[in-house]
Amino acid sequence: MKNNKRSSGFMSLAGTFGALVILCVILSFASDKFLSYSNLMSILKQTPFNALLSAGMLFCLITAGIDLSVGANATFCACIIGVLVKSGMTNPVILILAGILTGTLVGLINGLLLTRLHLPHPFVSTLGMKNFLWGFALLITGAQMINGFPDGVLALGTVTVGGIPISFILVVVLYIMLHILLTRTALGRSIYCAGGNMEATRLSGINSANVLTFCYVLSGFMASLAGIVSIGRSGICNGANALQPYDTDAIAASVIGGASFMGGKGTMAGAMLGALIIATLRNGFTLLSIESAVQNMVLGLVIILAVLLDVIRENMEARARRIAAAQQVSED
Amino acid sequence: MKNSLVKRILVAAVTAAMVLSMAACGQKEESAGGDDASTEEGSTNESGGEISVDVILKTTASEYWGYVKAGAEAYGEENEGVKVEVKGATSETAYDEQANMIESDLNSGAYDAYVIAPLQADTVTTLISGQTAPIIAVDTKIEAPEVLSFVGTGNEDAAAMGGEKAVEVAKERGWKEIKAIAISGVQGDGTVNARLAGYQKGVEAAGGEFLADETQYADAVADKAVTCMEAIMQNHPEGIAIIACNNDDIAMGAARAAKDNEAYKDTIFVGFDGIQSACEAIIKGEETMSVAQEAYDMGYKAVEAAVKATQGEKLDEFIDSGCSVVDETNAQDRMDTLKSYLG
Amino acid sequence: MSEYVVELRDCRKTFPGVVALNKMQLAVKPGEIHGLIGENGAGKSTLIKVLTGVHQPDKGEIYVDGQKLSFRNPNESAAAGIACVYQELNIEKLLSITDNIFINKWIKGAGGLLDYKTMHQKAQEVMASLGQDVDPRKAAGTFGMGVQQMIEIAKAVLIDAKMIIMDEPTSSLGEKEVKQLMDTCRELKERGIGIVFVSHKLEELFELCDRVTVIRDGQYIETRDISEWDHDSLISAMVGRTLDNLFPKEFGVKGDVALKVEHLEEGGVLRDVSFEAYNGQILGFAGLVGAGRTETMRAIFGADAIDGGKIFVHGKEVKIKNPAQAIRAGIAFLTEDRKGQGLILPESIKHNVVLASMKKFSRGLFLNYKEIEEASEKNISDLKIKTPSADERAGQLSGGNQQKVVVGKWVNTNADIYIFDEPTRGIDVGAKIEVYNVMNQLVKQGKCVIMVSSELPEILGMSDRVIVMRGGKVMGEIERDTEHFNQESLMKAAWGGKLS
Repeated sequence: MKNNKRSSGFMSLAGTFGALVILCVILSFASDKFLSYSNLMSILKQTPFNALLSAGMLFCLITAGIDLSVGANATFCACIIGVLVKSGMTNPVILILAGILTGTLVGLINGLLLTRLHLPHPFVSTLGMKNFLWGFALLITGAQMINGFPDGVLALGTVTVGGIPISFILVVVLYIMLHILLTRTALGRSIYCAGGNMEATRLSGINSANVLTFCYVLSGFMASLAGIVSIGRSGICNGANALQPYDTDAIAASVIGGASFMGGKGTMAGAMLGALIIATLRNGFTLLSIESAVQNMVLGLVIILAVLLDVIRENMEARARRIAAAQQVSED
Repeated sequence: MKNSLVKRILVAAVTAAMVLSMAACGQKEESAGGDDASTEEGSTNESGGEISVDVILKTTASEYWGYVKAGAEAYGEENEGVKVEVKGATSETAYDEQANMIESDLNSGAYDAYVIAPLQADTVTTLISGQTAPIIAVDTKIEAPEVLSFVGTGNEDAAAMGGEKAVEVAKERGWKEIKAIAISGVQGDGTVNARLAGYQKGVEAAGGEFLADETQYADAVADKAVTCMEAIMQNHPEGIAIIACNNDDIAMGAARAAKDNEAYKDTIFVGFDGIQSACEAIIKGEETMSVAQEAYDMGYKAVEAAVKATQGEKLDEFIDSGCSVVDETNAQDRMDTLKSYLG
Repeated sequence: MSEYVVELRDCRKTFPGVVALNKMQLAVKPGEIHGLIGENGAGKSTLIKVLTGVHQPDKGEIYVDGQKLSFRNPNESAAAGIACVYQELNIEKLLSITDNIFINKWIKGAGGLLDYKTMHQKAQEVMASLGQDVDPRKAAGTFGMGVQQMIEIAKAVLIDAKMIIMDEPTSSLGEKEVKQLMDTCRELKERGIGIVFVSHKLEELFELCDRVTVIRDGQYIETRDISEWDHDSLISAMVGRTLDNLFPKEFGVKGDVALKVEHLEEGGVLRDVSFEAYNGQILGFAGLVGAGRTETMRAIFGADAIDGGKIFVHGKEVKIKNPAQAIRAGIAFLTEDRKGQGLILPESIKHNVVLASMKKFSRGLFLNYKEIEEASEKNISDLKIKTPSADERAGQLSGGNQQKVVVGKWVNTNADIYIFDEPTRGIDVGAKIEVYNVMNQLVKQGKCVIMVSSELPEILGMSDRVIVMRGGKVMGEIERDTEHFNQESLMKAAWGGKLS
């Protein structure tokens, strides 16, 4: 009885994990290359970009908000670094710091627009920010693709330790830290509570404006890391990429992992599984040279299915709770 | 009440500041470019007998189209009495946006001739039907009686040229089995399909094998190209001779993904567009070659043709703007030329 | 022809693992106002939903005008002439009154287009017949709760309902609106409509009803004419035991001034509000809805910005700009709207009860879950919260238990000054007693309690001193056991009269 909630949370994760396993089994039958060590490492290389964006997105989703600017922000940070490289800056530490600072600042602006200027739902403000950053990225790069980044900047997207990409190790470390933050600290609880009921949270003496701002700042920070990873992977940056649907991939990962647009829900472990499922799906389909049209269809179905399963699971849990409550009453 | 007013003013101020800063940055860029057509506009606008040419490109937000724009504007500057206005959609997939742009400009009656690079040629065919002002297609062909001439290379022909050249180089590098796989752009896009067909034609004509079933679509983005390349290396641990890419972003991303793979050290990565950073990468040996359409000439010649048409001259149906393959022998020269275009 | 307009006989309804109704019956005569009363969880909602076709009973018959019917869905029930005005109104606030009344029953004119002219006219007529002279073109949300409720009643009248069920219709109304509602009920009664009036407020039942049915634990207990019931018999029938006293008032020792408020001003809402509250006492705040009592408390707690005034805690002036500062100053504030402002419904009980004191439950950066578990278990047993575990979501609890969770949240802050705003609204008698007991304990510990309540018996039963507000101003102050400490005087002050 006592572990009711914990076990149900575990159940929902187990379902998502099961989906990932089933996906892997199917793909390993479909392609003999899928289960090879190097391909599995490829998946780990392909996951971090989306996983980083998803982490920030998840925090915003938990507060019943959204950050549509994550992808554009990542691209923008990459372009800022690119422009600095082009202007002769070669110190990787300064370049990386500049990128992180830029992304975090964009996140801060998103947060302040929401909490201090009281723009309505962040869907609007971050959508605006996405377009602004897209244009700004093209403007500062003169709409040119930039390459020639120093190795120090590229490292995050290229270096591997024992075959495992450090970008993935970074993701795991950050996810564990954020998991602890969400579940074990007052700030984490405040984030869930702000998503569950903003006014009640404020009237309980929690500065919910600051809590929200923190989520968007974090989202910006994670986006900047994603931008740096993307430079490392592709070796280039291009402002035009800001319009790629990175944001919807991040939403998809969070939602597959159990987050809800209504807020108050979602876990880091779930987001990680969601990001892995998307990366695996894309990897498998690319391996099989399945055209991108079909890829898009399948990903769409996976998202719908994930949400559907979540709703069914909720209903079953509610039912189980009712039965349990009834038993308790009859025992009394 | 008072409070919310203050907030509203604050919002307005921030917005204004944002717009201003954007405008300021924009100005700097343009004046640094040195070939600013719009500043001249004011002085020549009122003079009689001026020929006004409307150039609607696929987009202006990419380096390649930047050269087309520069070429078009250069013609306007060199020739007195010709006014050139260049615009484009925000991205190469903003089909509706370009259609609206074309429609409003045709209806405005403010221009004497039109140069159009269609995102979707069929849409444009419908839009321009019945127009009497001269219309020139640039970069991509428009099948319509209203279009007097097509200025360009044809993506297919250019890609075929690249394919042939790549097979040649592959033979030089000692590949026994010359197989080629394409990493393409956005599935369903006209240009993308033309380039794909061209690569296949070129590779096969030169005696290589084109693995059409294994074509990957990377949405024209470098990081997706990396994912595609990783899959290709999984499927072909023995190495593939030619990776034919839809653009230079993809070629550089793919080359980067294969950098540490021994089997792929001699692989030929063919890009498309031959932009500055691609030249740089070719010099460094990262990308192998890039198919380059002469974008600057394309813009220049298209406007030239449009002006001639308004003066009643008869035009050729096809004006070849030329194309070439950039490799390590000519990359430096090309880069210098390109730089001079953009100033 | 039956004597009853609607009769439910021997009804049984089970949900998985729980018997919600058993041997339930209800018989309503035409032109009768029939009170229905029972503790929360007694089965009132299920009974209503069976009658309105939302739930289908496992067993039992429904007769309308003596004809046996069964309802597969709410539409069939409505077609048979049974309407219900739910506690949570189904009003689309942005739509006009007409749109609300004619939703799904549109009157169409030529070509199938909506005939707004006729609809507006009809809407105006039906609203006027209910004593509401309003413009039906205006958005429903621009009117108060009273009018919105009348819109629901108008919907019922328009479908020629034979019986209208009103579920706690007065819980969100002010005195004047309640009076108007009662007049409307009597008017509907004159038209021969049977009314089922569900309420927690015994006074209302005595004032309005012809007969009253009591249910308990999903079972029918008894129906009597109102003249055969009195307070005690109703309550004992409802709770199954006799309560010696509804208000178990205990006295603390009056201490120093804990909270002193001077010249509080908030544009148009509060005017020069000053008062003192003492340790070891309950200070009651009486007045009509909209008198500025909740606003005063919100201002003190930093929930709303004030334009002027000073607040002293234990004699020291404190600047409170937000709730966090108020809590640091030792003030706790239980809001009137527990779902909207008190609870995080999707969160567990244990996370709710520590929400306002998370610092206290943290060790360094991290939350101390052992302490949190202990504290929440203590809350559950102290406050007798009925729940399978501390991990149960707040949203799953009944109203009374939810309120206890909110009380637990503030008790855990260990504050010095407790403000309870309508602490017993909409909860059953048993839960009310628990809340009163918490207040008693607090004053006995020498803490200061302020209670805002719209129920005068509660104010008189629990307060040591009462402040009456009206129109954002303090009208008067009455000590317990003085001449004016009675309902009449409080009402008089609340309506603007002078207490001599």
